[in-house]
Amino acid sequence: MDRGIAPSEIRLGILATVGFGGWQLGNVSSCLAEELGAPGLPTVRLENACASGGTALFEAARAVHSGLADVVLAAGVEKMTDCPSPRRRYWLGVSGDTEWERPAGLTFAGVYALMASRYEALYGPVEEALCAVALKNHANGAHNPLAHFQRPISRDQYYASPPVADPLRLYDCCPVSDGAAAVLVARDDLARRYTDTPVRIEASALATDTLALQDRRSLTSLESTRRAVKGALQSWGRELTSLQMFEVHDCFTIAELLALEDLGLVARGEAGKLTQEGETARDGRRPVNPSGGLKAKGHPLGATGLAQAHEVFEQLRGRCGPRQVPGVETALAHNVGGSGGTCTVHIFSV
Amino acid sequence: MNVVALAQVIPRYVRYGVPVEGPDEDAFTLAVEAARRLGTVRGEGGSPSRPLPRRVSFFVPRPSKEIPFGDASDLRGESIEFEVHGLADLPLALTERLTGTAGGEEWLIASLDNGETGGSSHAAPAGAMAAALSGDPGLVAGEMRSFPWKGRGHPLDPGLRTTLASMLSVRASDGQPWAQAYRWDDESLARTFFPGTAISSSGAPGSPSPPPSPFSRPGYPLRPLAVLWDAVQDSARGIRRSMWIRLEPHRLSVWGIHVDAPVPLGGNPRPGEPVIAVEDAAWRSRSRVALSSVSEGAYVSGDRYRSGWAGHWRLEGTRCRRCGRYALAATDVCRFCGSPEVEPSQLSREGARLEAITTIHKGAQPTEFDWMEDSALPYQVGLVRFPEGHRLSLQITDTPPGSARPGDAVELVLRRIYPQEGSWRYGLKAVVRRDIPRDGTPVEDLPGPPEGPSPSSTSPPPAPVRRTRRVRKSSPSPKPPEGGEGEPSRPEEPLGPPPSVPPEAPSPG
Repeated sequence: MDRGIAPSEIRLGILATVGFGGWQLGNVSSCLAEELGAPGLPTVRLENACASGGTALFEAARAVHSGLADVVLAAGVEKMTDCPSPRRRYWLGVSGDTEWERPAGLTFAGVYALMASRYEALYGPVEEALCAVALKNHANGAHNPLAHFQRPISRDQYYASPPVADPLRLYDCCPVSDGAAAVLVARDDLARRYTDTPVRIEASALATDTLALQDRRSLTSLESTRRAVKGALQSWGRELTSLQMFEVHDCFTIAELLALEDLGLVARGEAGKLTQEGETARDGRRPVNPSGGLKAKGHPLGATGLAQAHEVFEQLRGRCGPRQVPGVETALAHNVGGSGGTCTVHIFSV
Repeated sequence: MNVVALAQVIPRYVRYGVPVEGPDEDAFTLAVEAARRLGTVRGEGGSPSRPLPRRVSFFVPRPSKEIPFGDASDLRGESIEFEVHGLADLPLALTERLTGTAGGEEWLIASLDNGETGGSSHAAPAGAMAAALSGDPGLVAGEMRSFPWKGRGHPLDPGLRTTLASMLSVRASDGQPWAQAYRWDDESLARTFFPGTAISSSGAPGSPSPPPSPFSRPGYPLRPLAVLWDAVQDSARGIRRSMWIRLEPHRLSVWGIHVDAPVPLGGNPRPGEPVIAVEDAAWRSRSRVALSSVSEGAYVSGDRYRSGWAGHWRLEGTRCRRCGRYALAATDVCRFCGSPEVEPSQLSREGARLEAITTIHKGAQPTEFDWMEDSALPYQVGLVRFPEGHRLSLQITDTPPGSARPGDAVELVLRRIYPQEGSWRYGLKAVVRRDIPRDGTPVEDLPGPPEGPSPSSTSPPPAPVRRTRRVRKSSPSPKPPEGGEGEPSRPEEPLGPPPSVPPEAPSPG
């Protein structure tokens, strides 16, 4: 942060973590106080599966707005590799529906693959579109020094990657990553104490949908995304077309396609075309995931929503170097929990 | 009592030409399948299902009181008695029931699997047979004579041989041999001492004969019911009376079987169903599944598992009268629209189709399914759409990988899901039906929740600069800023809203 902050100025700490790996699972948020050097700092840990980070940001904004605390630290962390391999597969399934989906033999890849299967039945073959998402996000990630993968991939590499849950291949899936991110949210009038160029949270929305895919109205639409973006836009008071950049939750490539449609960027069934025509590339009309997305940047569960906010922060302040989206002043971050059970949408401006 | 219906379950997996149970099948699942088939066997113009039996007896290799045959067999009705016996009790039980008097319909279900003997190089055919018995006309079977028997390898006592020979030449009233076919439990006995008798069923020359049941092999535990199946099949070609020379440990008995009235048969395979070859590695991996541990998968306690049977096995739940959506398990309030107007309901097992499908490859499965690595991975999982407007995620079984597609009709079967805490957990899976054409018409979305205010919660932008001031008695709080630069609250203060005091008159800005 540009101008520094004394730890004692932080008034509330929110730690987003699913608790996938590592060893301090209970009472972990109190570690924040110690690690910061802010003894007595009130802290809380929250979990909304992969939307934990976005939810922490939502709660931080709410705490500031309500007057409860003027300066709030929202931090997210996940140490996913500090975990034996079978236990990883255990964890990857627990945020899904345990009543029906798991006993049917599904983890998240399988659930998203079912969405892709239905998408294909409705709109035709989807492989090329999925490939386009993977290639774009890896190309973006190559310019992100914080990304898990910093190399582009080729079409051949994509098609050669082993199948995971048809039609999803290995290169359709985000990796298992370690990572952390933190955002400081301050009252409007205090922001310039800490930074030259604060980024404003214009709207912050949280919504849910059914936990299990099988219970949803549509298999190719996340109601949680639609509700959250509707609420966020209403609160902001402007149109989607005013947004210049999007960090969306591409845990699987198909998720990015569905997100484009659920956010309202494109009509149903057209997300593939939009991507393949380069509209969502960094230099396209609607840049999506210039950070590389979860696909290339990585997906440490609790940190992701806040990592998206960090990317937005740097982009809106023009600090992204080779992956900078030129002239961007408004942005949206979209963070989903599980296969769509929870979703946060934040709108930012500078 | 007479046999009034029969059902047979032959697994689709074969090993060296012999049907064997699939990776997720065992004597329990085969028995449940047989009971289900028997329940739907009907005669010409009959009602779609049989009357409820008053007693159902299961005969399985490893009887256990913990295995819930009654819950799994999906038989409605509180007054049905369920019994479980070892397979060795089948012949005696059959004798008793056939010679007993009817007091309502009774079912006998017998099933056999190869157990966890993956090392065996010769697997016996696995499968199940089921018989419905009542006082109605059907197949009549009973003992005509019985003789003490010294065991195989001993020549028959000459007096015994003579008596048996005279039995076999019993004439009917029209002068023809009473028995049109002879079913010997010991074919070498027949060949050696009674070479003139037909060894097994033979029809009129030139007529096509259906294959005998794979379970009617001499000495095979399911033979008692399989012989009756063969007799019914033969009756369709005019062989209505046969003698069954039965071997038991110290007794040789001759039974007369006559088919007085049509006996409907229910069984598989249906046309177009694939037969799946089991590889040796897959077969042997059966013996390596560890039952003892709690897997690294999601832990579902035994109590929780059992409490889910109504929904998971029998598809019982509730339906909302307002929006029409189903919930398994039952709820008090509709999960989709919030209405309390819910009523008990059950999804039907007919008419289900695949809406979406994926193939799970090795590494993408939940850890509970690691046991399938050698035998059944990759497997397919589908979203099954029920005509009532509900979807379930179900694993697909008995269907070669890659062959299932959206639009396929599926039937639901109870199978092994995964092992936990020393026993197998069971649940429904889907099998693609190739006798019903794939339906290519697009599936509609399910009804959405009623429109209302958006449930998402939003945080409006921070309020503009405040013009009013509140005077507080105790600790100071941040003064509202004038020019956009404010002070954060002091760190010594506890976090929380300021103590509430009556506000004084606001001072001018």
